[in-house]
Amino acid sequence: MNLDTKLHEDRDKSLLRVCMIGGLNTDTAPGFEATLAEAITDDWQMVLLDMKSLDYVSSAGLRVIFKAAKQLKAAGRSLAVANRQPQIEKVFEILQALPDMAVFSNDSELDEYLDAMQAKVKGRDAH
Amino acid sequence: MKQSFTTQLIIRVTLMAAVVIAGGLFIDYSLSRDRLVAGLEEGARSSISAAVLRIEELTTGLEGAVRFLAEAVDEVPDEARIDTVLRSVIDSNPHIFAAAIALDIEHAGAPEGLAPYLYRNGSSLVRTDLSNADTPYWQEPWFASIRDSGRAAWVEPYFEPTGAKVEMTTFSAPLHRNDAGGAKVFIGVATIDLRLTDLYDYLDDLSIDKKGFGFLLTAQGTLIGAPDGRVISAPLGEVLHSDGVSNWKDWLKDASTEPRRALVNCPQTAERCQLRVADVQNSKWSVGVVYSEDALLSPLRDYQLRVLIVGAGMLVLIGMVVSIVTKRLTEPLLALATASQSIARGELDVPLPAHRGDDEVSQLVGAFDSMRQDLGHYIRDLESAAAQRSRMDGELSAAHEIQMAMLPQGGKAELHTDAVDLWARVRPARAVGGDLYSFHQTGRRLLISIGDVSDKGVPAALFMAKAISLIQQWEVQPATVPPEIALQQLNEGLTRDNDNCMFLTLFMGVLNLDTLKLHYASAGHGAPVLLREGEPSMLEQQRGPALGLREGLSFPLNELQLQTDDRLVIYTDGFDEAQNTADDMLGEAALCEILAGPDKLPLDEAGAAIFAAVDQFTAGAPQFDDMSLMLLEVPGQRRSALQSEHQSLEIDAALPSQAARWLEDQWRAQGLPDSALRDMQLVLEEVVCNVRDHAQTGDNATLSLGLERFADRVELECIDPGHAYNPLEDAERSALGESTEEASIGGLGLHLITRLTTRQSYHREDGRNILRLRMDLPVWEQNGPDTATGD
Repeated sequence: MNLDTKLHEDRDKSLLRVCMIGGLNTDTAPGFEATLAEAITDDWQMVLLDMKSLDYVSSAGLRVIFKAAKQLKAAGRSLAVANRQPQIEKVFEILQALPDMAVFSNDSELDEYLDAMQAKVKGRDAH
Repeated sequence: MKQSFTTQLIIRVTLMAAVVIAGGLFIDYSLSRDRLVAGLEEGARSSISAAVLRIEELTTGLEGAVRFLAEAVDEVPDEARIDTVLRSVIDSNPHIFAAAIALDIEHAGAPEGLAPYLYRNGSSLVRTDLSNADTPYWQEPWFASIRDSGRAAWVEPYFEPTGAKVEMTTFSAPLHRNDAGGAKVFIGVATIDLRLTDLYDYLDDLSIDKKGFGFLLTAQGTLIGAPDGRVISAPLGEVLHSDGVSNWKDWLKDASTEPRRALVNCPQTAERCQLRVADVQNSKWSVGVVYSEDALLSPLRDYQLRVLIVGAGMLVLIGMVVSIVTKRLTEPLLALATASQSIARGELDVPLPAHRGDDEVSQLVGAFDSMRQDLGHYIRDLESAAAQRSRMDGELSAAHEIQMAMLPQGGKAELHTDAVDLWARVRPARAVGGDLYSFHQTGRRLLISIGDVSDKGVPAALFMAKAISLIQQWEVQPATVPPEIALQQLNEGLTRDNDNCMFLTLFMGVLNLDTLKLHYASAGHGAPVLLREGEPSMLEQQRGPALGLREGLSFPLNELQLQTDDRLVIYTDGFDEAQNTADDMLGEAALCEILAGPDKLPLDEAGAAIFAAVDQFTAGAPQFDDMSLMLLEVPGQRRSALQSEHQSLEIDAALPSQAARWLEDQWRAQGLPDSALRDMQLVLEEVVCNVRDHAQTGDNATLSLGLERFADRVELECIDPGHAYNPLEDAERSALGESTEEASIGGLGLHLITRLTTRQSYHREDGRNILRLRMDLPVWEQNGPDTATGD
């Protein structure tokens, strides 16, 4: 099983999109963990795991995602997931993974969320 | 806030007493106040009247004196005569300060006139003559006005500068002489002077209070009084100020203001004062009084204060009395409450409050005492009953173990032979029961029995003990006695000395393990159910009567040819007569359905499933009767795996990926549905990671994986030679659904295993961990290996 990752940076929205292609299991988890750890060292407000092309995730893979979510949350940032395939969603559901994590089923939901967040931040800065 | 009954009672009774006292005092106060105010008004009125009378007396007296003067000088007098008259007038009247007779210039006999004037100076009299003044006296108003008017009158107060040099007022009257023609001829004026201070003595007792004062009011509206303690004379308007009166002259003349009263400012304080004015008869003068209403009402306020103090005192007294009485009443109740708490803790001999007489509290204490005694008896009874019960339970528990020990493998039995598999279980309704089963293989024969003693509990258990010992004697006969004969012999043994008429239904069979032919006989026992090709059918059987009631019975023999994959279910009536909470009986038809349900499952699972299904039907209702179940199966292909593959993989870092590849290959090769592959991959990954991380095996150790496809399920078998490790119990299992901060990073795998598979079993055998995981497959179009498609 292999896992490729592609990073898309959106500086305007302070969003790092991590496209996951392949499967995230006990073999691919360490590599992904390293990639993710390096990618999130930059000060991204949100790191989005795009699972459109991810067709397998095991508990070893979720472990990496949990860890990253914890790190980001502790730093006041957030981890979100998008475009989960049904079998991925099932695993998330069984493990009741991070009920407070933002989940987007498509890009337009994500855009809406980001717009709302940006408006909120601007509103806060204005004060 | 919670308050004790005592406090509530005290507060309420005292409050009610307070209301009653306050009401009474208020009524008393209102009545007293009206009376008091009326009295004060009356006092003020009468003191004014008295002052008016005195002033009237004074004026009358003075007028008399003046008249005397006038009569005494009816001729034009000489100076000596005038002195004598004046002296006698002053001597005769202590109020008169001075007196004078001033002759008109025409009759004076001297150009400067003649006006002798006598006034008091201490105890002596001093004489002067007013004609010595700078201004001729006949031009002074006191002379001129009397001469002109011809009438006696008071003169407005003035300061006398020549003689006495004091402030005074003067009463003057004209002196006349009748001339020869009888006409009145004016010859002079007689005057009598009063010092204002002397005049004011008449009003002394008009000062009703310290803030007010009495006064005289002249015809011109000049006030003579001492508003600040010093006698003065001044216009009324300068001394008294009132919001209601702007012009005092008009007010005094206005007849509609009778009796004249007004509210004015008190002269020395900012308070309001009452003004009353009364006219003096036969004079244009008036008498007035100013008094402070507050000061007037001060006795009323004293009375008010007294009433309050008395009321408060009464209230305190009542409160104390109420509190003493209440405490005396509730003390026994409190003691009872404390005692009841002690009793609740089991201290039954706690002392109760002493009770005398026959009041309600005494009755309560009495009732409480008898309740305590009853409770004591009851607890002792209960304790002895509990002890007895506990002893009985102990005995029954031991009896249960002994009874189960009479059955092969202690009531839960399995037997595997080359020809058949057997599974049996007894579940008594109570600690002990009358159900029994037994089996025994002798040579190529398998002897089986299953039976049910009438009734249940201890009597049935004792009879069952006798029966099973006889049955087990049959099983060990060197030459097998056929079942119908065995039943005959058993009946003889059980009927002997069976005065209680206990009886036993019994199924007995002898199975030839070579021919699979079953010979069986039934003593009043229900027919077994045969599951053939998944279809349940009740065996047709000839049966004899139950055992133990009558000697000399015979029993028909039945025969059944078993086939491969047949499953025979023999049971006692605890199954078909199981009852739910609504007292509905399960019945044979429903039981057959239940028996057929787990047809595809392995024998042990099927047995457990049948018990579980009946329990589901009874839905918590207590077990009605003892239940025994025996399953006999001729193993074949029907329930074995349709396909089975095994592979050994080396336990190393590459194990997960190799296992995953093997699974995917096998899955496709066995034509299993792709939809379930991901789930099994997830499960396998968790299992092999566990083995890799926890097995602690030496070099070259291998993990044996097996994938077995059944008609309705797929089973994964993982066998590793590691140290004993049950992943189902020993693995870390994290809490699910936690927030990001709380969530633990590991411990998720076991959740996936238990959620994605329907049955998990672990056992350790020959130093190996054996884990079997079953996944039920949905009904799917089975793809043979040929039609499997890869992607």
